[in-house]
Amino acid sequence: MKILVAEDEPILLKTIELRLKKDGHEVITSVNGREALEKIEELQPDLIIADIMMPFASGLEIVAMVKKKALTMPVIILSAMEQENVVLEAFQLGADDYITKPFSLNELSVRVKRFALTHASRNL
Amino acid sequence: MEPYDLSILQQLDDNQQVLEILDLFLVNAPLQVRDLLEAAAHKDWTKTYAVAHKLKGSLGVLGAFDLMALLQQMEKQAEAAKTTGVEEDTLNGTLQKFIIAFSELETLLKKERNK
Repeated sequence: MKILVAEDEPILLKTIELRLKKDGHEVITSVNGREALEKIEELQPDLIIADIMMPFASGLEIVAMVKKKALTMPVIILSAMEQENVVLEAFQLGADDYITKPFSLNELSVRVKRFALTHASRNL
Repeated sequence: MEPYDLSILQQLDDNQQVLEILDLFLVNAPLQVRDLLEAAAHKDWTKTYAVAHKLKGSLGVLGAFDLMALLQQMEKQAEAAKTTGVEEDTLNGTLQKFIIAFSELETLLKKERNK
């Protein structure tokens, strides 16, 4: 799967990138929301993983853009522990899943795999 | 007990990659700490909150939960300082505790890096 990861924190971004590549995915990274919005339109990833709080455009703006443009790729939101209200807002906007930081990389892999299976069955 | 836990990074199952992340942290995190000190010194509470939030994400990857808790306190104090100003002294106290704990973490991670 082609996965776009939008996260402004470089250590977390690199860690996610290394794990997803190890799992066999193609990974596109963005260090801010604006860059992510541009890459989503240009590269049409199969899955988006986006942090809520990023410079220039938030994870919520990414979810809103994906839904507004009727793009079909699912969006997983990365949230901090105290952001429950924002997670609810993300779901109202159409986010498909969320994971709270700090998280286990194994858990992230399992959640991504669930979307990969759906993606594969859609492309049969 | 160590002030960090590399169990998340060990899930990469690749020692070279763990070292790569530690190196990235040892280069990036001190710059973020410098930004945090500057933001607090300039009483820029919006930036103080943003930098503390971002740094908390890095420390989470390294399982440095005590430092994360200090940053979470700082986020709340920065939010309060923005509106009332009354948390300013408390925030500076938390910041001092954080700097001491961060310096210890940095020393230990450098040792871990060179094992």
